[in-house]
Amino acid sequence: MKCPSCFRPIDHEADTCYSCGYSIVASKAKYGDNIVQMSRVHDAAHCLRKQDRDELNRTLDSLEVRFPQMLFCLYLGALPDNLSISEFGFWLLNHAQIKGAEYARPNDNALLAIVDLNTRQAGISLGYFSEMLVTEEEAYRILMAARPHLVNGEYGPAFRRLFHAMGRVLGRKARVLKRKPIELLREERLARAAGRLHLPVEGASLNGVEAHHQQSAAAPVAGGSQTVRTPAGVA
Amino acid sequence: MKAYSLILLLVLAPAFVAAAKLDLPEWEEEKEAEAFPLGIGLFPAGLVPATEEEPDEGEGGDRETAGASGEDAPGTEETGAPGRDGEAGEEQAPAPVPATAEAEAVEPLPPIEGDLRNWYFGLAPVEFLIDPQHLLTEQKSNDLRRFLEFHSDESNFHIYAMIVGETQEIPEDVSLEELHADWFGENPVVLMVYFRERPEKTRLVYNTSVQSAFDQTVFDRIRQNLLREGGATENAPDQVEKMAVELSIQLYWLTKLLERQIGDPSLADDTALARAATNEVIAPRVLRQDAPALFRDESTLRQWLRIAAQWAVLLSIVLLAGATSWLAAWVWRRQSPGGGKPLLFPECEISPRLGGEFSGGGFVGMSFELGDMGGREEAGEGFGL
Repeated sequence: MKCPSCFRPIDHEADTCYSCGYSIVASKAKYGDNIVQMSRVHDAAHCLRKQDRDELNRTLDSLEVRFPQMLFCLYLGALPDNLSISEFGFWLLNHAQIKGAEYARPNDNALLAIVDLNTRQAGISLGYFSEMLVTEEEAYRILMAARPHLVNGEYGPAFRRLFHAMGRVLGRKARVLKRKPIELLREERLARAAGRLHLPVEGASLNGVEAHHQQSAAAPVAGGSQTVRTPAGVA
Repeated sequence: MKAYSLILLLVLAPAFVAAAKLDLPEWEEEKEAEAFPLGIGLFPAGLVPATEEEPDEGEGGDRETAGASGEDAPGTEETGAPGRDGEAGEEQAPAPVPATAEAEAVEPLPPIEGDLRNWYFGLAPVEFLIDPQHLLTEQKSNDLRRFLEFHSDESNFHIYAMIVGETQEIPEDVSLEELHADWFGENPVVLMVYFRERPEKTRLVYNTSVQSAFDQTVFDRIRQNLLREGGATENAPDQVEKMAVELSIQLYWLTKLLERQIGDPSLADDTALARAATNEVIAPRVLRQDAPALFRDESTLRQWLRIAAQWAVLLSIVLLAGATSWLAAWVWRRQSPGGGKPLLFPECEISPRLGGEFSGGGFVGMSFELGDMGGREEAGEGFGL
C-alpha cells in the first residue's frame, strides 16, 4: 500500500500517510466533497470514436457477466497540472457514482482505469476488494499490455486489451482462490506490504534515502510503475 | 488498226473456245473401257450411278458395273446433269445405295481347314497367343502376348489364348480337351478360345485334374465373369484383353483354392467350402470378408493383435481430434473476456485506509508516449464530470 500522494508505503489500516499526512480529508479539501456521476466509459477528452466506445462497452458487458461482483470503469481525460493521477483515482473512487452500476457492484470492487492525456500517464485505481485480487505486479502487466496502443494513440484497442488483460488476471485469481482461501491471499499481501516497512539497515544514510524519496515523489512517473520499489530494509 | 484487231479478237474468241478440244486420254481398245468402269476398286459397285448421257465414251447408260448384282440402281438412268435427257429443270433424287454393296465389302473368313487348321491345331503352341490369322492388331497382339507372359511368370496356372474369327467354327473332329491333354498334360493350363467380337462363344478348356477338383459351378462362374468383362466393350482387341485379365484374376483365386485343397484333401468334399469357393471366384475381394476362414493365413493371436492395433490407432486419432478441439475451445474461452461461466469471489473483511470509504489509494501507474500527437494538450476545466 502506497500513499497516492507521496508513494511511500503506509500501513494497511493507516488513517493518514506517515510521511506526508495525506488522507481523504486532504483530497476533499483539494478537489471537493461532492459526489459526481460518471459513465462506465467516461471519455472526457472525446478521444474515443463511437465504434471504439461500442466495442468497449461490449467488452465491459461480457466482463461484468463473467465477474458479477466486479465494477469495471474507465476515465479518459486531460487532467489539470496540479492534479496527480493517483490522487485523482483515489478521490474519484471515493466520490464517483457509476451510472448503471448495480448494488452488487460497489466501488470497493472497482477497477478504474485512468488515462491522463496531458501527462501521458495511465493507471489503475483499485478499490479495497480489488486490491485483494489484483497485485501491483499484475496491475502493471495489465498496463503494459495496453501500452503499445497507447503510445500509438489507438485508445480503443488499448482499452480493449487492458480490460481483456484484467479479465485474464481475475480469472486466474478465481482459479487460485479455489485452492486457497482469500484470507490467505490477504495475509500474503499484507506480509508483502509489511516487508516494505522494515527499519533501515545499519549504516545507511537517512539523508540519502529521504533525498531519493523526495526526488521520486516530486517527478511524475516516467516509463515505470507508480509504486516506488524501495530497497529491502529501507522505509 | 490496233482497235480493229482487238475487236476482231473479241468477236472470234468464243468461237475459238468452242472449237477447242481437250486431248483426253482414251482407251486403246473399247473392251478395256468396259472392264474398268468408273470407281472400280475404290467404291462398292452400285454406289456410283451409271450414266448413259456420255456420247464420248461410246457406251449407253446400261453399262454393267463389276460386282453388281445385275439390278440397276433405281434412278441411275435418270441421274446426271439436269436437262440432258430433255427434261429441263427437273432434278432427280440420288439413287439409294443397295445394302448388298456394304455387306459384300467385308471379306468373309475362310473355314478352319487345311493349312489354317494346321496352324491352329497342328502343333503345340509355343507362344501364349495363338493368332495365325492376325485377327488382332499388331499393337494389341503385342500387348496381350506380354500380359500372358507376365501372367505365366507370376502364376503356375498358365493361359493360352486362341483367336478365331466370328464366323469360323472349330472343326467337329477336333476335340479341344484332347488337344489340351496332348499339349499340356497335367500342367495347370487353361486354353481360352475367343471368337472375335463374339465373346459369348468363348470356350475355356482346363486340365482334367483341375476340373475334377471343383464343382462345375466354379467354372461356370469363371466363364460368366469373363463374359461380363468381354461384354463391356465392342472392340475385339479390348474384349480379349479384358477377358484375359479377368481370367488371370480368377485363376489366382483358383490357385489359392487348389493349394488349400492339397493341404487338406477333406476340404474338397466340404460343401460349405465349395460354396465359398463358388462365391470366391465371383468376388474374391469381397469374399475375404464373407469367408475369412479361407484366407486366414495368420494365427488367431496375430489377427487379434492386428485388429486391436487398428482399433487403437483409430481410437487415438479420435481422442487426439477431441483433445485438440477441446483445447482450442478452452483457449478461445480464456481469450475472450467474457468467456466461461460467471466467477464469484469470496467475501473478506476489509479495513479502510486513509479514510477512504471505497478505496485506500491503491494505484499502479505507467507513462506512455504518444506517436505524432504533439505536446501536452491544454488542460481543461475540472475533470469533465
